[in-house]
Amino acid sequence: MELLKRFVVGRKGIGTILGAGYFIIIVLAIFNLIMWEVNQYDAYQQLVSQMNQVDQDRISENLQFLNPALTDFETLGSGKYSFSLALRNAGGITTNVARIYFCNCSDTSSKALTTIEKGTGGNNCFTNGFINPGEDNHKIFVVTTLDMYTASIRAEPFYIHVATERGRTFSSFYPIVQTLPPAGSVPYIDIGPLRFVFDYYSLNYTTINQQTPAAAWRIPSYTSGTYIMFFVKVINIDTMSNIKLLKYCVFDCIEMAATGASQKIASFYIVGKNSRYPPSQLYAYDETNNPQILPHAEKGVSGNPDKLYPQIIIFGCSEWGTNKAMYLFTGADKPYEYLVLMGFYYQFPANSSYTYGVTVPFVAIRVNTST
Amino acid sequence: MTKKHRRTMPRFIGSRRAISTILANVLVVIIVVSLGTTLFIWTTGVMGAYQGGAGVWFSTRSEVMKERLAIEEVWFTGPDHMNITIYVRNVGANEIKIGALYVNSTQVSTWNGPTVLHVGQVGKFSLTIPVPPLKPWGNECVTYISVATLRGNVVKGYWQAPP
Repeated sequence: MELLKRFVVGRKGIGTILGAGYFIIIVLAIFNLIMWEVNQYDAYQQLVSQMNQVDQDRISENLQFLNPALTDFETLGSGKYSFSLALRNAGGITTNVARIYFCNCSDTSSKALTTIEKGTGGNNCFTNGFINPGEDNHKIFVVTTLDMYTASIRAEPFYIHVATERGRTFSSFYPIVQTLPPAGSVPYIDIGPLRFVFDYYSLNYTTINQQTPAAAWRIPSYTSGTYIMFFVKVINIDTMSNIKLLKYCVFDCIEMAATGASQKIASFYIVGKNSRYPPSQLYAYDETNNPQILPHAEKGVSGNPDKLYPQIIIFGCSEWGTNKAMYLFTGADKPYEYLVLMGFYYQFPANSSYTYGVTVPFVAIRVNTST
Repeated sequence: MTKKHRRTMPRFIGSRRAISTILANVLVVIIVVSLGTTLFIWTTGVMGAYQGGAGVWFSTRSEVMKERLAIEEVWFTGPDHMNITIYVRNVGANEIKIGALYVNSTQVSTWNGPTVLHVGQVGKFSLTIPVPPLKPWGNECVTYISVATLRGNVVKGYWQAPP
């Protein structure tokens, strides 16, 4: 009570009290500001760390396409097909595939790109897109309107882009690039920079009645006069230069009779790479504006084998540079034999002045025979 | 007014002793209070302005930091591949507003597609290359494509037209 009375009566120290009061208030305000800023900065740094983690997760994703990439082909009817896309998760984190893009390199129309969504509905969809780290031969089940089986046996070139939920995209050329087989296993012949592979689907044919390419080593049923087209798999094994095919490339089928050559040769010249079957889906080869280029192989680094890019060459017209369909010379519908020689005319390197012409002894074809 | 007050008031008014001391004290107190209040108001204003600016900076930076987008696919169609379709996915934690599209470092003025991409959404952007300055280009031409958001993030890459 005495202290309060002295404080009320006394006049000394008021300025000190007021100053101290203001000082404390201002110090508190500044402290509050500092605390607020620290708080904000901490929240911001947490966000930065969180997003850095997101980026690290994205970089950790690594999907690899397994050869032959597409398997388990099935026809579902109603223009739908299914197949499996085989992948390996070589990354350190679980990866969720969000979308798959199929780009048909042979198709220049706006329909060349097919997008396949995650889910089970719609014409183009896939399931099983969740891939755990280290998982090998993981199969994504795809249902689509794309007939990839036909494309695969025709070695029709596609680009496959697999987009993940974190924003990475993994791509592969399809058919997957091949590596040289080991020594002693030689299912091919090399003539200059051209390699001709001898596997079952290296030589295919189509007709109006056989629109899906089928192996042409033996054509079990062929009606005389039916237009026919041949598909041949060729690889440019040069590691430096592309090859440009000229319109004179020809697939000569020499008819054999019991006494030898019958003097009949059916010559099929190269046609456009978008051709499917004769005569309606046969397009002239445009050597000037849309030539067929055989891309060069990529030199393998660090002792790895070279990467090779198989291409399909289509022969089907009777005159070079036209879309006039051609047929085999057969009289009656009975077994015939043909020896096939291919004449390859090309520029190497592409678009240079160096033109080559080589003859390729290739195959013998028998028609109208069950054996 | 009571008798006591009637006597005191004239004496207070008439007397001149001690008035300067009182006035001085009152003036000092008023000056101190007004200066202190001014200082307080100024300090509060400065801190408020700073806090506001810093708040905007943190908020803006946070929004920018949350944005992530990826170009999934670029597709070239039409004569001379003049039509380009770009698929962009929002893989961030914030919705994205598309600000501009660039082809070979030149802004494309008109394009079709969503202006806002929600989280996880894929946007399909279609554009036609104007003539000139970007024509001509041909098969297998490599094209530099950038997608910019309104918050200033840019995702870019090189894409090759099909053969």
